[in-house]
Amino acid sequence: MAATPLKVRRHRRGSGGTPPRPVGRSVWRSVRGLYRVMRANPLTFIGFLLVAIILILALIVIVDPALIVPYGAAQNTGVYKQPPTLLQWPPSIQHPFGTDQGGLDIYSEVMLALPLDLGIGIGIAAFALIAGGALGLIAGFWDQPRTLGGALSVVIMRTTDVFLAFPSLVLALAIVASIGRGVWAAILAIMITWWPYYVRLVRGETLAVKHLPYVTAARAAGVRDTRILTRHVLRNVLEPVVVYFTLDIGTVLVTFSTISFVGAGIPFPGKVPEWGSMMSFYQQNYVLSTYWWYITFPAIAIFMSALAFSLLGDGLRDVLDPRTRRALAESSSFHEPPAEVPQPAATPDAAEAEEEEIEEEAREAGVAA
Amino acid sequence: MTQPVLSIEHLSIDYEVGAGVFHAVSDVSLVVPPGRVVGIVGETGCGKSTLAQAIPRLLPEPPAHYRSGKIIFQGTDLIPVPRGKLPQVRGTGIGMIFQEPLNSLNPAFRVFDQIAEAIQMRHWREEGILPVFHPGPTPFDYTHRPLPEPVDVLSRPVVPGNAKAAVAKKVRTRSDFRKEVLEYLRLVRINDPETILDLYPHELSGGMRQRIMIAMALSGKPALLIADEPTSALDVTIQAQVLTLMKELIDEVQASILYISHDLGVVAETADDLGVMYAGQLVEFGPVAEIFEAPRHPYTKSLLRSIPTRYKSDWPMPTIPGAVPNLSRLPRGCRFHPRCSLAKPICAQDPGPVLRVIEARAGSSSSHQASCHFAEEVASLP
Amino acid sequence: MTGPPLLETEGVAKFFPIVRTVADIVTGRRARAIHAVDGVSITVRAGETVGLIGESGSGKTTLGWVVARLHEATSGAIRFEGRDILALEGAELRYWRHNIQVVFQDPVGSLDPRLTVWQIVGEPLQAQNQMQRWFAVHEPRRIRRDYRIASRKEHKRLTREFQDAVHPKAAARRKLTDDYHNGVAERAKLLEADRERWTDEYQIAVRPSRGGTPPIPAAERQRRHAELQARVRDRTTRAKAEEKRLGVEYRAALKQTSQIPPVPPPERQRLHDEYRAALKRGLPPPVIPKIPKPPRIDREMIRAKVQEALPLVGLMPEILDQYPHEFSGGGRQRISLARALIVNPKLIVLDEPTSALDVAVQAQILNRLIELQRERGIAYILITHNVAAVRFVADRVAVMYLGQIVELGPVRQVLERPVHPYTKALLAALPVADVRRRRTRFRIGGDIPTLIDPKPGCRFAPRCPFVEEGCRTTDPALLPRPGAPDHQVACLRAEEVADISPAELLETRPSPAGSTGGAPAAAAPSVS
Repeated sequence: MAATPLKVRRHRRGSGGTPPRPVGRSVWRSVRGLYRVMRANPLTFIGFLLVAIILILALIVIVDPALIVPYGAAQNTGVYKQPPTLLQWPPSIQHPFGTDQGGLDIYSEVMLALPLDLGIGIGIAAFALIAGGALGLIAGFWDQPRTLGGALSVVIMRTTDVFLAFPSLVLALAIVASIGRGVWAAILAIMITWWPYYVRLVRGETLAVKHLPYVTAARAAGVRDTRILTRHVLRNVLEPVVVYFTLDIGTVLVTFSTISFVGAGIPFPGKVPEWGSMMSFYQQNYVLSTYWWYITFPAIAIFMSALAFSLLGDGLRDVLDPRTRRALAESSSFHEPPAEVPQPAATPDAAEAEEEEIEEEAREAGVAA
Repeated sequence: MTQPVLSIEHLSIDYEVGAGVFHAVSDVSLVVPPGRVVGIVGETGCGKSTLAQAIPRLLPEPPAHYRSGKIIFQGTDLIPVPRGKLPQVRGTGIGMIFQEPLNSLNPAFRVFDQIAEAIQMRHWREEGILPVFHPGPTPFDYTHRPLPEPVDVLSRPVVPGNAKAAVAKKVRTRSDFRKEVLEYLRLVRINDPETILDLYPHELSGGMRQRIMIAMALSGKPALLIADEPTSALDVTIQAQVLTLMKELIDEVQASILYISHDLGVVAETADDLGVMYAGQLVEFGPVAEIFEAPRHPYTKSLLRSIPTRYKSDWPMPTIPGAVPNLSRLPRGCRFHPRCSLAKPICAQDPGPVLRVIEARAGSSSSHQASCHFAEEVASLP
Repeated sequence: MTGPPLLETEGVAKFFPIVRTVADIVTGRRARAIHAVDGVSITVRAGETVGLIGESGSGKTTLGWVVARLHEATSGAIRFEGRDILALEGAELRYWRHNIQVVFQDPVGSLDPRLTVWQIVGEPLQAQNQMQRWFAVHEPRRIRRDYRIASRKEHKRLTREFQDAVHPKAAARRKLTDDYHNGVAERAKLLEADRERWTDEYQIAVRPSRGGTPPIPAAERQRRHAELQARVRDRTTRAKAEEKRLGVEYRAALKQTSQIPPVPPPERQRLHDEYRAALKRGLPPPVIPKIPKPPRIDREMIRAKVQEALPLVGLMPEILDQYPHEFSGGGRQRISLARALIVNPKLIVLDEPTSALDVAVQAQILNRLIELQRERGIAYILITHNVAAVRFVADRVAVMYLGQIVELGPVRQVLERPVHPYTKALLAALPVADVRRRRTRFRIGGDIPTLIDPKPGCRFAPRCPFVEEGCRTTDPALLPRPGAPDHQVACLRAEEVADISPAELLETRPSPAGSTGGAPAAAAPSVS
């Protein structure tokens, strides 16, 4: 029937159906599954690698900067292998990202800014996830009209609406006007404006899951509400939320850098460098056509971090869903539906399976059937 | 012998999904003569819906591949037609009625707009404004048809309780088609059509929506109507009403109908010829009365036996052991042999001739064919 | 099946209120509700299967959920093993839940896609175990608390008895006054009820109707209004006269009480001693059963129990760690069934268990259900629109239409000789694999009307082929047929139409001239 041989790897089975592997090896199985998903989806793999690299680098910079930061910031946080002699010099072997007028090695500055930016990105996104997610779960799960839960849900949602209206950038400027510049102004502004999105997302998902038959079945079985929440609702809601979270890390990072760029965040040069404020400083004070390396590298750093998390987030969806994970990991079709307890008119399975395998091998070897 | 409206020859369709290849339709051949109703029956996953949607090339082409075969509609093979020209084929020659009318009617448009759009397309084709791939003969013309005489209970208003009371409004768009739209609505036995012209699909009941779907399909004056499980989503009494409607339309309309269903009772009432599908293959084909009297394939026989309404004695209910095979891992030889009580060793090796003619009675609409080595022995099965 | 009923529902109703928007409040539209279930009384005995058949909107699914306490009944009573289950709440409800389990319609949505088979099937076990542990701790506490409350009540009662015995005159007077006030209040309530009922009738009679009958002219409306007023006036005057009479009687009785003699001191002393003695005795001490607290069930035990339960539904025990998506629709329904069976319920509500499955798989599942019933004596409520499945599985069947039961009786009787016109229509509408039915035409028109605030009168009247005037105004009650007490029908013309077979609802169409062949025309075949 098929004119062109299709590359299909058939699932080899023994006689009479596939016995699943024993329980103890489930960890290994999921690791292998993960690996196969990565292989099937190259972009995810790249994102995963990038995120891993970024995290490792950040960790190194926190723990022992001397390993990779040769020149430190203006405040002598690094070890000078030799004082920077080449000022205002474009990228070279000794200074891979170049140096600036004030004696700062751009590479060191970018590296030193990594843990801060990354930490704030992950930290604020995590805060928004936890705070917003908790509120969303409450607002979605106990949302019956004319009950206490319903009233609470209304209160939560209207408060969320209020906070959704704030633009983070403008709010940051307003906060700076009251408490002055600094990292706290930026963090506060983003925290205040970020959690509402999670409330909406989680509430929507919770409402959808709450009415599914398996939740009703759990209620019919006598399971307590809190247990239903943690066991059924949370797990099924988590998947799109976690994906959104990883994508959000990049967004928070960019927002934080933007706030610093606009002048409401950390000043540069200051205690700790920050990519956005670096770009802002250089952009205001120098002619960028000549000194192009001043802002190019911090910008690339922001871009790569955001990209890494985006790619990871995209692929995470496939990893988390047991359905697609299996489909990708085992490149043949699904298991047989479990057979009835044997009925009359059963066929000689073993012989058939063997024949099939022989046939398959022959076909793959290119021999005609 | 007049040219058949539809002739499918050795059609095979595969779905290529990441997890494997599903042989949805394998080597199906059938012929729909003009003015006849051909029923296709089978369980879920046998490929009948795929077949139905494959004929007007409605399947999404990347996962679906037409491996081999021809679909000859009014003398032209539809498979080689390039994608750009496909809209010219559909609509005028082939009309489709789908299963769930809430999904097939556009929720954003009123009833009048939807039917008027179909009529508009047809007019443009007839006047040559839209290119037509294959201008077929128009089999019927309703503009001069006399109104049907009201039958007692069927003449009671069919408008459901939640229709808007003040619906006597002016219909604003394309009022030149109004007369024709009302004609088609009366054709599907909606006795008070002005009331529903302004309604949206979600404001109507299931039976009404299905009638509108049928009206839309008929308004293109098709030579072939493909009905893909049109009554499966309806309640029993509404299903009976729509079936009655279809039976009457079959008499009035001279289109051929390909009626697809999983319910043998429904096809018994509507079809002239019947084809039974299993795992992507047509295992039996013939005049419907003959198949019901004396099936020639073990699967058909088991299927007839397991219909609960024909079944007289008590528990246990007869079942077919095993399950429908996965279309990407089909058994070798005959596809039904793992579940067949007549299976012999040859069945595991050799799939057997596809649809060999068992019997051709004079005066029957078609010959009775089955794909089984032992078709003659099927009669001896319990 | 004989024996006491396992489940009894009486007049159960479930209304879903339609949320009133601001526009509704402003325009003064009154609150509407969807009458999903409206006055259903049905009994299920242990080990029997009751089928609920009907189309969409009949309320059969809602009734099943109300019985399983997944919806809260708006009114009515439900008793399970004699116990009122509508009063159960909170932990007590959860403790009781294992008695009635539900298998749902959608095989895909019924199983949590993120849990494995053993976790899904084992969940009710965990819940049951938890509730049993809770019960072991709380039941003694509840008994003690109930004892304390009962003791206090007894104390009060004894004191009051003593007071009454010692002051007979005051006691008599108080009793008379209480009776008088109660009597007055009751009569006022009756009057109010009557007035409401008449007003409702009047309003319905003059309400502008939708499509069909012409509106009532103003003169007629005036006349009816005047009639209503006269009636109400009449009733009120009568009520007032009655009250007056009661008042007079009361006064006379009061006068009589002044002749009651006081109690002499020795008698008083005796009563006092008795009182003290009774107080001291108190109620007999409660019997606190020693309930052993079962150990917390752990993963291994759950898996073992699930492994035992899986073969019951025809699944291999090795599938414990697989996920639901790896199974076909039939497999998933079996898993749902295993989940329902694992806590040994006495009643299972099967909500369309086979509508998502193929005919062959349906047969397998139904066979299994019957075997399980024979082995374990579980009662089933089978909710379905598939009449054939009901004929096969059920002992009794209830036919529902628009939230009410229209016919109820032994399955063979109802399906082979249906009495109610709707049952006849339902059976006539079933497609039968008979080629001679090509020439038949189904005679029942109309759509299923709305469930919102249904009008009084028989709900099938707009579509019924045997309808009469009285059908549109009087609500038919579900009454047993004469001579067949277990077969109940809700139709005013039940006995007249009883012998009309469903086949009469199909009429033969004439063959068109020059028809395109096909099966020869035949008389409408019998339907069974």
